[in-house]
Parts: sequence; structure tokens; C-alpha cells
Amino acid sequence: MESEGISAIVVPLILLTLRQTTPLVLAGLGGIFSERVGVVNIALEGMMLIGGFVGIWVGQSAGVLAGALAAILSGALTGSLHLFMTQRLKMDHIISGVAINLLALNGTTYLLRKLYVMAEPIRDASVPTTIPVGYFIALTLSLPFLAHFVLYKTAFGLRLRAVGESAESVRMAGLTPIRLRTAGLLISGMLGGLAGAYLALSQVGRFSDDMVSGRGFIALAAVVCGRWTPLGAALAALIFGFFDALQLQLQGVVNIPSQFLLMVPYVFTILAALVLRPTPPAALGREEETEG
Amino acid sequence: MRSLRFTLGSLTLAFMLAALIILATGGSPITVFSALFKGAFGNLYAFGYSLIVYRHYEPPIEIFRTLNRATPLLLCGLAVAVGLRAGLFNIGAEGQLLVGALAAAWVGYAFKGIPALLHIPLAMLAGAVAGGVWGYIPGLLKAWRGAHEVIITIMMNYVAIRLTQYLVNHPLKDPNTLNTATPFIQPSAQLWVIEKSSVFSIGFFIAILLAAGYAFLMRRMSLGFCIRAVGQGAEAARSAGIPVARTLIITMCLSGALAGIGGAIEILGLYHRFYDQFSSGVGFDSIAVALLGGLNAPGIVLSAVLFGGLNTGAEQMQIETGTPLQIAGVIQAIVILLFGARYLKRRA
Repeated sequence: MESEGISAIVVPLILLTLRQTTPLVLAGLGGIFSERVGVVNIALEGMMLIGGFVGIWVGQSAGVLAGALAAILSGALTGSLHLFMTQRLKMDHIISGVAINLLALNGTTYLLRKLYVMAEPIRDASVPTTIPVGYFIALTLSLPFLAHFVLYKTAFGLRLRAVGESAESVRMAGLTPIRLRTAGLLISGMLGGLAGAYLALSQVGRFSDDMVSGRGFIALAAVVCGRWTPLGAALAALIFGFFDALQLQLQGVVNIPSQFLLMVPYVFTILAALVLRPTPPAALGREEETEG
Repeated sequence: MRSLRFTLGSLTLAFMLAALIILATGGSPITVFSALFKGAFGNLYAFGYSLIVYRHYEPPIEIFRTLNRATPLLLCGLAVAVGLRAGLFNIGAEGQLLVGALAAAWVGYAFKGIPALLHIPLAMLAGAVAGGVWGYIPGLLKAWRGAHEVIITIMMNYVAIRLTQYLVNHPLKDPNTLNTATPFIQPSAQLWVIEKSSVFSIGFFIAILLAAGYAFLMRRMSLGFCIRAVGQGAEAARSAGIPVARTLIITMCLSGALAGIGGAIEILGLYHRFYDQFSSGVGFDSIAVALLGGLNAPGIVLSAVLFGGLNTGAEQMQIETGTPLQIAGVIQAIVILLFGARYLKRRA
């Protein structure tokens, strides 16, 4: 009896933790591939929102798998916009990220209302069948290791990391920095879009206003706490996902205000900045000549 | 002159792109934009007619609503601008505004029986201090541990959202209401109202005074010189004997305090109590305000009024034409994309 009682609490908590961790890991890996090539990416939130909306929009007519593919592509497109702004126009990375987030939030809400909620006749922004959550959880459990392998064990990964430390030295070695940054940003966008696809097409099966609600920033926090490494970020995301799941499980059961559990990722990150002193890649956000 | 041309050209381009979006989603840009303009500034033709023909001076109520909306944008725009002048990106204005608003609300309702001349400054000061503390933490972490202020201010935003949400749901909640809100502030803490039906108060003019103060600080005070020197290059400033760490911390405090005062004015002038989620997105909108205003005081005032009008007008436009008001946010985002590129070129 006793052990059954415990497993009745623990098993759902583990499953919920995995569900809540999944978008953080996917987006967090996206953040790593952008920041490791030297481009600050606070636009993860926007990439997820656009991915979620496009996923539902395409998924409705062409099926959920096509929707997920479209979400990934839309993320890559958003990544390209960020790349163009920061590398070609030399815009401050933060400004570009803020603008992309603002555009994504207002743009998706505008389209949701215009094409669905306020449309005549009203349409539902949902898909009839969802992608099983298990697929995404499997990705979440394997992708951090794959990313680790790519970044640390392959020549491609070495080059990606090198361009994040110094574009000049990469050029000296006879490589083109902008190509490497393009690769990093495309991977980043695809992962961000995939995270959005998970939320919209798998976890809930619909798109609603501001449905990402800050998860992109929690993913960014995981990147910082994990010191820009895939395994570290995945671990941080798991901790954040656990507290989120705990908060959901405890609601109404124990009298701890949920706000304090919801604060965990943010306070954790501030403390990490104080104690761990995480050092970002050297060229992160710096303006450099990357073309030619 | 060139800068003015660029500003007007960019705004036109942003509106043209928005017009394309409206067209593509089956609306009429002319109807939408005229509803937007009317919602923002009222029927200016009727106003001018009554002014000239009847000598009857009564500005449209929409203008007051726009100025109400512009007030927090103006103060947060100044907060972002003072940070950017020192090379700091404060994207935590939202959180600083929230804690400032709650602190002012608390002083406003908990202190009883003191004269307005004391109560109002006290509540404003509480807002400034709370916002300043919220700016101090990222400033300190930046100067002391080299932590990136962008990451920390984002985190501080969410801590502020959750913390104020907790406080207004539990310890500071008004027991006599179903809303998640604090009690109403005392009449002695309310800012003097100029136009009743829109609750337009002297708050806007306090913001204008602070904008003048910002200009004075930047041009005439040694702190302003230090801020600009650090913004142009920390290394050079350090070798010139400027206390870089101290300047960074003071700048973030000042920035947070400005946003905190913005929150205080929202409560003392407009809402008269702190509602959960009474504000959303001002912190990010104010980045557009600061950039469009070219980081100088008159420019920031103008762009705050412009974006205030855009937001107020968008609500009216949604009611009249069924066009979702988020089109205003889309325009703002495009403005940032167009202006951000120019800002960096100026700095380089």
C-alpha cells in the first residue's frame, strides 16, 4: 500500500517533469547553437511562438507531421532574419532579438485573431490529432548527447565553437566565418521552431495567445546556468522542468504559493551569475567582420 | 535634417508594411488607419472647427488618453536611454515599473492622515527606491561579477512579475474585493487630476520634468559625462580615471528608479490601486521609444506620445473595424528593426 501510494505521486511527477522539460531542452539547445557561434539569441521565445503558430496553421490542412516540418522551417527562417540583422546590418544582437520577439508575439496574436478567433465564421486554431508526446520526450533525452557529440567530437563542431571565440582566427585558418554562423543560426532556429511545434502540436494540440509564455527565456536561463554546454543546459532545464511540474502538482494540495516555485528558474540563474560566474563564448555579441 | 528624414521615412515604411499585412489578411488599410488615428488623437477637424468658429477650447478626450498611455512609456524610455548611453541594455524596465508601482500603492494606502504635499512625494520616492533596487542588482552583478545585464534584467522581470503577483494575492490583497488588487490609495496620495473622464493627471508633466532632468544630467553634470564616457568605451574611460564600476551601478540604479517612478505615476495618477497584471509590455515597448527618440529627451517625449497614441488608437480601431489591436505592436517591432541598425552605426 505504502509503495503504491508513493508511486502514485512520483510517477505522474516524473512524467510531468519530462513534459515540462521538453520545450526547455529543445529551445535551450537552440540557444547553444546560436550563442556558441557568437550570436546572442534572446529571440528563442519568438522562434517558438512562430513555430507553434505555423505548425498549427499548416498542420490543420496538411497533417501534424507536415505541420512540425513547417514549424522547423519557420524557425530556420526566423533564425535567418536574426542572422541578417546582426551579421549583414551589424545590428546590436539584443535589439534584433527584442524586435523579433515583439514581432512574433504581436504578429502571431494578430493572425490568430484575424484568421481564427475574430474570423467569420469563427475557426478553431487546433489540430484533430496530436503528435504523441513520447516522440518529443525521446528527442529530449537523446538530442543533448547528440549536440554534445557534434560540438565536441566533430570537426564541424570545433569550427562552430571557434567562430564563437574569434571570427578572425577562423578566417586565418582559411574558413568563412559567416558560413559557420549561418549554420549555427539555422540549427538554432530549427530547434526553436521544433520546441514551438511540441507545445502547439503535441502537448496541447492548439495555438493560443502568447502560449510560449516566457519558456524561451527560461531556456535561455538554462543555457547560462549550463555554461553554454548541451549537457549542462539539459540538466538545468531538467531542474527547471521539475520545479514547474512540482508547482503544477502541488497547486491546491499544499499551501505554498505557486509564485515562489515559479520563480525558481529566475532566482537560480541570478544566483548562478553570482556564484558560478559563467563565462560566455568570447566573441558573443561582439561586432566583427564575418564576411569575405 | 537627415535624421528627421530618416525618422519619417522609417515610420512611413513601417506603416506601409503594416498596410500590406492588413491587405493580405483581408482588411482595408485606409479604414483601419483612419480609425487608428481618430482613436489616438480624436476628431481634430471638429476640434479645430469649434476652436476657430466658436472660440470653444476643448481638446478631444482621445488626446488625454494618449498622454496617459505615453507617461509610463516616456519614463521607461528614459530608463532604457540612460542605460544605453552607458552601453548598458536595461530590458528590465517592466519589472522595475512593477515593483515601483506596488511600493507606491502600498505607501499610498497604508499611510493615513498625512498631507498630500508629503504623501505624494513619499509614495513617488517609494516607487523610485523600489525600482532603483531592482536596477541595482543587475548593475552590481555586472560591475562585480561581469554578469550580462540583459540576462539578469530578464530574470529580474519575471521575479518581479511573480513577486508582485504573490504580494497582491496574499499579504497586500484588499480583503473587501474579489479582484486581485491592493486597497485603493488615500485621496491624499492621488495626483491632481486635470481632466476627469480620462483621469488625466499631472503625472504626464512630472514625466516631462524628469525628461528635462535627463537632458540636464547628460549635458551638464559630471555624472552624465561619466555615463557617456563609459558608453563610448569602458577601457578608455578607465584609463582616463573614470570610476567605471561605480558609474555602471549608479546608471542601473538611476534607470531602475526612472521606471519605478513610471510605475508609481500609473498607480497614483491613473489606477489608484495596484491590480495584478495592470501593465504588460511597457518595458519592451519603451525600447522602441528610446531608439526612435534617438536617446535624447525631446525625441523620447515625441516618440512616447507617438507610441502612446498608437496603442490608444489601436484599441478604438479594434472596436470599430474588427482589426486586432496587435497590428500596433507589429508596427513597433518593425520600427525597432529599422532603427536598431541606425543606432549601432551612430555608436560605432
